[in-house]
Amino acid sequence: MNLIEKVEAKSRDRAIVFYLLALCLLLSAMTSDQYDSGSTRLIPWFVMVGGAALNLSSAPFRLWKWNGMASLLNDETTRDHRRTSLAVGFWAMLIAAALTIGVSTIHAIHAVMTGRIIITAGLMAALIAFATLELRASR
Amino acid sequence: MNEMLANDLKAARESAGLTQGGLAEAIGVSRKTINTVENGVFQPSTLLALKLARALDRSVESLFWIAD
Repeated sequence: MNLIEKVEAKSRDRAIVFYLLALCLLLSAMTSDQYDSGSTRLIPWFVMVGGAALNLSSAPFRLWKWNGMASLLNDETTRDHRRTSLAVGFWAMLIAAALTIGVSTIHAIHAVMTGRIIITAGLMAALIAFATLELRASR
Repeated sequence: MNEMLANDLKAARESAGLTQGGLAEAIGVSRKTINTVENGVFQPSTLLALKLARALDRSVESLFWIAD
């Protein structure tokens, strides 16, 4: 297996991990209680959200020294997909925020829950968009 | 006006006897970058276009052009 094939396999693995991460975020949001703002649940959630956000950025490629794979795993197409997916995430957050405002006029929503919904929607959309674009480009 | 960037990358690559992976390795990008450029899904930067032209021994203008 040469370097290009290794990068392709890693890129595919990353896309699958992103789908799983999006699923975890959704399950976490669905199983959380409206008034569940205790640190026992919030800290792991923040870690998961932070990990997802970090993976969506190019920071891992800048912060740590990589072997020759780094430039290939973060090449022009990947950077373009990252930009597109972050834009998708931004719009998902706006829509989620607008919907939450709408719902809160009928039924009061806890501020922590509101934050979770908005962050989950944005990150999920960005992760799914990135993974889909990456897999489609590899075909 | 709906201008698009067309390219002759696939034909040029095949006539050079290179696979997508081979060309990707030659210019230091992933295979999906070559694939998306060939399919017109991704518009390459000037730097990438110059690298592709050099690797295929062609001029940039013969590889990429504006299709109206």
